[in-house]
Amino acid sequence: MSTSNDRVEQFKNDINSLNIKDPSAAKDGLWLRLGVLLMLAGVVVAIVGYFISHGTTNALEQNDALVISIIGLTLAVVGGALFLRYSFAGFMKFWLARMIHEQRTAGEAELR
Amino acid sequence: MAEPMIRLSGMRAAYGGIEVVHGVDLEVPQGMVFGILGPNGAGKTTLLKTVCGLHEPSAGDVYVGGRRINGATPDQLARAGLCLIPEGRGIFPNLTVRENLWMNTYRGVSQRSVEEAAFARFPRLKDRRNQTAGTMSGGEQQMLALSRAVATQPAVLLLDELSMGLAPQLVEQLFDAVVDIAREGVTILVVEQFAKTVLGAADLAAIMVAGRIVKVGRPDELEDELSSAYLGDE
Repeated sequence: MSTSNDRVEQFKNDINSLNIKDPSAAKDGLWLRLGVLLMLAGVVVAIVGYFISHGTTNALEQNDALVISIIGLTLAVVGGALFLRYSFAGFMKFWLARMIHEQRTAGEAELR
Repeated sequence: MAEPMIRLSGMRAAYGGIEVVHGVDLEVPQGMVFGILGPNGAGKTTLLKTVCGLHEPSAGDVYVGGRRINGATPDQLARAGLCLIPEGRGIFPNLTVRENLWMNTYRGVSQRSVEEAAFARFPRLKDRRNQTAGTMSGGEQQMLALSRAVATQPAVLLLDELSMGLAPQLVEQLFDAVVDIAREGVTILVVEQFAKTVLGAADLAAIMVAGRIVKVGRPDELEDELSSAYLGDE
């Protein structure tokens, strides 16, 4: 009996020491939307940079516009990476679940 | 009073926008066999999936061992010692009995001790140890699933439709094993559509209908309620 009590106590300790992420803090959807937003904002900023550069003959201002455009492109790349990361994660979850289900069904059918 | 091993508080669960479990409050005491009975589509399996982390509750709280476990992943809970035998047994049909048992060495239990524990509980599996699991009878497959689960020394065992597709004699044998496992201190939550089989083995049971627990009590207290739960009130 003491062994089973020990096991239960160990289980409770293990459960208490789990690092559980609060599901309400799940931010996958938020990161995905942020990625889309950054992609769009980056492209807009890059285009704004082009117009700033086009509207002046001052070399210093054109340099600033160049920097703005590069920042815009960087934002677009970061946004694209975030979008891919979180949209792929969702896709891969379903793909893996489907593959496991199909393999199990195929294995069972084969043995029948 | 001792803290229940599993406690659900106002737990709701949904698939997409469709809610299937509507605010369940339930306490499963430690070391007992607790049966959840109810007709098909009552939300029993969803309730089990929520307890073992496979399905996120849409509202309410799930406590295991006194800790709120909303958001815990199934592998975290399995490693701690919460084990689910899903409907359909969850064995690998194209692996042998021994290979199936070896799959459960994730908690640091050796292959040998997993095999010894399994064969001691169900000697029939020893004779079949090199046989492909999918070629065994349904009862033997369920024995394999049960022994595989127990070999990892779980503290909580969740059983989903243990009796599905099995002969009554085999079901009786399996539930005898379930009672033995509970005597060793394991808390067992068993979900069954066929009520009579569970009522003979459970210490406590609950009737679940349409996503709600309608009655909790000792098996003898529930027998009268069963027909109305399954067939509906007049």
